[in-house]
Amino acid sequence: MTRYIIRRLLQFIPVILISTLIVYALVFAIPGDPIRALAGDRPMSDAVRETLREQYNLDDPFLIQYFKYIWGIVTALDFGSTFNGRPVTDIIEQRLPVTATLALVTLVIQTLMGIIAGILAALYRDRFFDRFVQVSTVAMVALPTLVIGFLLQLIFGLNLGWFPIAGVNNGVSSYILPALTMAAVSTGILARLVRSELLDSLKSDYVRTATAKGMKRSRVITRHGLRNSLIPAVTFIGADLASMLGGSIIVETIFNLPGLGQQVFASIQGQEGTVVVGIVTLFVLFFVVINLIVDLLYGLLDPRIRYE
Amino acid sequence: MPAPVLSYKDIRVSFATEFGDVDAVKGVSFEVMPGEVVAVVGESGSGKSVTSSTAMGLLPENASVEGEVLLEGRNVLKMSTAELRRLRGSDISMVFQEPMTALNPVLRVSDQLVEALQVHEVAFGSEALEKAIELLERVGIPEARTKIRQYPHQFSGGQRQRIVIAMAIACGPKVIIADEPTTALDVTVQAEILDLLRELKQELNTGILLITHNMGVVADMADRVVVMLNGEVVETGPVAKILGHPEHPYTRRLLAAMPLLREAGDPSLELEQEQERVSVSERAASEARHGTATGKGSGAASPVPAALEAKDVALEYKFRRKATRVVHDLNFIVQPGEIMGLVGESGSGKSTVAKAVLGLLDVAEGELRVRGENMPTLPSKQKKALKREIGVVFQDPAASLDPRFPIGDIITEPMVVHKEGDKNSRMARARELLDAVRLPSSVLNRYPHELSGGQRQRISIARALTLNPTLLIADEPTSALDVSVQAAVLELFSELQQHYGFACLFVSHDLAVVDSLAHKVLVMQNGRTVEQGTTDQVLRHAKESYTQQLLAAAPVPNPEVQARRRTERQRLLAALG
Repeated sequence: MTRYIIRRLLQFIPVILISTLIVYALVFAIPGDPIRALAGDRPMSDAVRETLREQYNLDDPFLIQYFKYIWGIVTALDFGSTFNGRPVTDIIEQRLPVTATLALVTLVIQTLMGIIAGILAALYRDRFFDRFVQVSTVAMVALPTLVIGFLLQLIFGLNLGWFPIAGVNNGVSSYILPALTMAAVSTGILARLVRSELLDSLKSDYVRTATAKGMKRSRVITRHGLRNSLIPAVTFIGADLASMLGGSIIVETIFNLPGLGQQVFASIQGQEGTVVVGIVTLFVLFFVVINLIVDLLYGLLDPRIRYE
Repeated sequence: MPAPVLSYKDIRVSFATEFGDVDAVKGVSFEVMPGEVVAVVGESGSGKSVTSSTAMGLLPENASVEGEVLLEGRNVLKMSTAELRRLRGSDISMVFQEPMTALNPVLRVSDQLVEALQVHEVAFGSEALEKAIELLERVGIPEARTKIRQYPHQFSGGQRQRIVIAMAIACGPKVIIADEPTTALDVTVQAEILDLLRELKQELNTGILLITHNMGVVADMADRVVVMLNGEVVETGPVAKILGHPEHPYTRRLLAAMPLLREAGDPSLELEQEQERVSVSERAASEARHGTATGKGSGAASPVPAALEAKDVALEYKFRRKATRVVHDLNFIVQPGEIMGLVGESGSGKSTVAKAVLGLLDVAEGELRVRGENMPTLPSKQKKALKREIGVVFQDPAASLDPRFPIGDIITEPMVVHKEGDKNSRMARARELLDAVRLPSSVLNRYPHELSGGQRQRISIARALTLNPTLLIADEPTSALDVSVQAAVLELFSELQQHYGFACLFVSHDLAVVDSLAHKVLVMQNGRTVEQGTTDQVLRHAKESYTQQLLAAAPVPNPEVQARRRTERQRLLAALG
């Protein structure tokens, strides 16, 4: 087990190196001069320009720039700074709570709604609720996030006035609409996944054995049916949580939340390479850590899986 | 006369399907007395499982049941859900066919046993756990106290079936319904499980309703027999009468279809041995003419090399660079036109050998010669050419035929792979082969799911013969089939073998099937050769104790003979310690 975890942790190194390299290369490939963009319409003397270029290693070849960047992280935990001189770690520290809250609220919403809807749909198979879940989940998966976001803003924000439409000034309630928007697709997929897994599991031999023991239907379902059918759901939730940071780019923009996603978007436009690379690296790190946790959880839920 | 513990009265079951109602059971009546074993026999679709599960209320929702099922005089079919639930597991319990899936894989055995006791308020908490340990000890699980903490996958198939039995007897039921309880198990394990059920029945005076298709198991266990066909009882009576003097033609057909493991002195053997002597001497003569076919001078030097020869073969499975050796020092020769039965229980390595011959597994050590050529070392082009000479028939025809291929394409695919013939000649070959396996050429455009299990296996055989192979690998080709279908397929197989003259490596766990077909037999255990020789030597004059145990464990469909064999087996096991 320990050996397994160490091996997985070691695998993080190449994953992170390769992903940062790719992101770095992409940022590098954006046409135009970031310093020029920084100055905007104002004139800039060649001397200033040269100093800035040197400070940010912009004249080095691509790979050298990259290695200097990585070297900074490894030796001094220095993730670089913006062209304004603000450290990237500062930005992350400021913006992370917003995105983390958004992700957490989304996770709670989609897990509760998805699993409960899936279970009820399976138990009332082919009845009204099941049909309703089947149809509504298709809609949730099919509608683009943008459309869902605007719909929620219109109905619950403008017309009903239940939740704030944008910004983060109203505590957790500010996050409800963005989280619902972000949760839509995954809730739909999760409900369908849980439904079909539970139906399979209710057909299985061990559920028949449990019924033959004389157990109550509700006990059979919770004790024997559910646990087995939730194993794939856990895998899905984990993978989804990891990819949520990507989704935050759109949702934070729609709802004007000052989180990491919005920052990445702004930094790409401003050609702030170090910020993009820093935040994306954080996303990647988060992704691999969550995946490791899911794999370990999987082994905990299913005793047949053992790690060496 | 004591009252029956369980009686079925005019049971009718129909299933509502999208194509209308299907009558599965059409008026079945029979009784089970306390301490009596009633065997319900019949082939798939006879309604034997459906009938018996009405007593548990375990039928799917689309089933409608008429008639009466009386458990100690109370009609189960009239009971409320709550009453039925109190009955299940306490007065009547079940042992299922598939021990591998009957237990919940994510719960400890202790949890699953304790829960059976707690549901019916027999015992709670630590008392229940103690009782569960006692139950495990009772069904013969060693070190029950520590083992009970383990998960189902940490037990073997036979042990899992013992655990299922422990759950079934937990609350002292009046009747146990055992639905094919040993079908998924090896013969030696089957014999042990049947012994256990017999002991428990005597101890608890429980009635047992035994559902099976195996007449040997019937002879071993049953007091009375109910024979079912298409949802109706065709014959019922004491076991000696049904197996000894069956009246209904279906019962007779069923018995005739059972492959028999013949004992020494069986009259049918003499004729066969005479033929065998002739063919052996012919082979010996041909070997003498051409020098030993088994010698090193393969290829051009000896015109009649062995169809298949293994020399000190070792086989391994690799997982994460760790190799586990599963077959050791394997040596055998299959001459052209000869059928060799490869016999062993699960885990013996017999299917691994078949895999290696098919080139699906690398040979770790030794030589595997097909027609004199050591296949593993051949360059890939020649290897492919040599593979033309090998046909294969797998166990499960439902799984080994691509469901999206029409039959014609399935049969001709080997020709496509080896770029042989054109469209017309391929179709002509397909027709010829369908004719050989006695199927109409109209099935050419059908799909596998439109055919029955037996027909599908005929298609598998036809496909195996497409390229006219000199060697056929058959891995349990009939063990997924009903006995009467198996009999027909085996007969066909034997005819085709005589007609086409291919050599065959016939992998099977069923000694009787091997006896009916093979010229010689190799017995494997834990990856090693236990014994090999002619079929007569191995199956009737076995030298090794393992072979003797295997033979002793195979039940025969004659209650008297089986009772004698049972005592003999117990004596043999006692002698071996």
